[in-house]
Amino acid sequence: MNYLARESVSKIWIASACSLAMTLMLFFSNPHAELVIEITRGYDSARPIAIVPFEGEAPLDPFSSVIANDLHRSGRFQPLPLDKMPERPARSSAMNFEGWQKLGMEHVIIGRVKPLPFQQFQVIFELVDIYKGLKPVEPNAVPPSPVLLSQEFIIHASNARKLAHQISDLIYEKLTGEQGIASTKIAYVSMIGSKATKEYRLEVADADGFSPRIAARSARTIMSPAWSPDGTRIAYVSFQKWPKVQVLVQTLATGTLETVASYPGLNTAPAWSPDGKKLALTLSKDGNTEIYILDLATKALQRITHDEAIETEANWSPDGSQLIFTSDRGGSPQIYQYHFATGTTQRVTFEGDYNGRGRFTSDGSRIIMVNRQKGQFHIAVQEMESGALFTLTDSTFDESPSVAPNGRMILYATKQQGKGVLSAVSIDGRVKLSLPLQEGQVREPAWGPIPHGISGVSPSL
Amino acid sequence: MQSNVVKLVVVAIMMSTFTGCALFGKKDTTSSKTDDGQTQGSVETSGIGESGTLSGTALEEQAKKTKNVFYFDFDKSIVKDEDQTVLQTHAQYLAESSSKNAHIIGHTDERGTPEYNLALGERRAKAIAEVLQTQGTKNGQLTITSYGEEAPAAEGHDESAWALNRRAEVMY
Repeated sequence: MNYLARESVSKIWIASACSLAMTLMLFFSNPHAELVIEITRGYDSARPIAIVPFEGEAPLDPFSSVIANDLHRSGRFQPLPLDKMPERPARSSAMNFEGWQKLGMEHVIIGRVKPLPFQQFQVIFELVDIYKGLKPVEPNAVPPSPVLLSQEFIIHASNARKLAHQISDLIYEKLTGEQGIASTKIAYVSMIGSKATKEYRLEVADADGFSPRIAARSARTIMSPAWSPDGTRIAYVSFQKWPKVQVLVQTLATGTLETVASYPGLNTAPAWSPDGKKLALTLSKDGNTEIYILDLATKALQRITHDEAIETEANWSPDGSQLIFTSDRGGSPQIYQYHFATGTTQRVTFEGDYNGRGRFTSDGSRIIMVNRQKGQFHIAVQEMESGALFTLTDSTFDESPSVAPNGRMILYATKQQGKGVLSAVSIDGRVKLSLPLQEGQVREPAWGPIPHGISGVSPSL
Repeated sequence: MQSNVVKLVVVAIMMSTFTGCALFGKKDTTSSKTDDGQTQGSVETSGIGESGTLSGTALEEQAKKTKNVFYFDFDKSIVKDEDQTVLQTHAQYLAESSSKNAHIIGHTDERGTPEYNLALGERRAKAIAEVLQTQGTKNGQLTITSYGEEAPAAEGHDESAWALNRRAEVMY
């Protein structure tokens, strides 16, 4: 597998750039400072797919274009530009399969939207398999349905985007066998203004960068947002009570704040246990930075490290049996692994003179990290079993990697012309997205968990 | 390797505190410190330059005019020799009365992860505090904090800016 394949922009992308970009421009242009998605590199092997504008979708606009964008951003699908579509069916029974086959389409998504009273809408979509639709049928036999997936929903207009993301995930899962992340959220810190007028914000946006909401704002530094496993809370570091550096936990739905760590010295680098009941923390109250586990209910503290070195950036394994953390006990920052059962610690990283900010992927088989080689900081992934390390990015100041809950994409912070921006790269390095902010500096992204049940969207069947 | 050198320096500072041996004071030729400079509240000094003996407000003014930003090498928290000397002025001022306080803030340049840099900034502030403590400042007089890479002095993205950001500041 070529981890640093430099995919040249494919001809299809250039050709479709105009029309697709125009479509994308419509919902990217925004007077407010929202994240804008650009796909800088893509799979050559992205699967051709067509997302036909849904019949009657105008009141929910943008709708089908959100689905197209989600699938495109996964790097695994190449949506057909609207002006290339031979027809705009609303039902699979009314489709001309040959027309789509001629364009090389394997799957087509179609749908229809019907208004109901009280700003409600009925939305039906069908995922159609073109080749199934073309299969010759035995005489007197019932033709197999070309529809791979179909579902009907009743929603309020305000939940249109949410539903579009959910449909994207259903389609993505059906066609790839993998969990989709279109319905997830991302949190990040943005800094607006400079010097005297600086404001720090903790923002939560959809995974595609839209609908950002400010969860917290402060004149002083906010750092290290960390999602609770159930997605209802975010822990973060606040300098609000400077010179105290504290860890706060904010409940997103209500905005209520709890100060969970305010010991003398630094209180920082929060990381949630998989059951959401504990936080690993970096505290320097006992002389220098060490890792501790805080039980959120009892407030009991368990100390994990006992070394004069800097110990920080703890992260739990998905099964809760281990922590990884950064320590410079060996002379330079490297990642170490602590096993709760045995109390033993061993070094995990050996390549490069700096390895930090380790994060497990959701299946626990790999860790992503910041790795420095020859003075340049990159995002890298290391396989736990083999110890093999692969570099995923090639700019110079890449940091704060956060892996999507399906393990496929990594969000990270980097600098473009000195400005802090977010970028994303796929776990195999092939797909790169950039998310430039129009104002201010964006950093420290944290990818939220798969939402359990989507409120406001109910299948009617 | 670097960690071992830091440990050695820290141990040396600690030992000099206990043995009353002014390990770094010997470099200063302009002020004559008594050899038992660790005696609390009775440090005798002679002034730097032509000012003669300073105390009280004069000493406070001098301390506040003295260089209070100290720079570090990349990834390091070792206080430079020339800074050990400068810190004496601050220590003298603080040693006058245990009710005097100073706030030491450590910083780093932007390279490296924000959390590691928060810890490294604290380590730099602690290194400065330890030098002051060998010269009579009491633990309770110092507040140690870190801004990590979050409050750069210079906004650039090259070595000239980074060098200005790797620092610890003594604030009154």
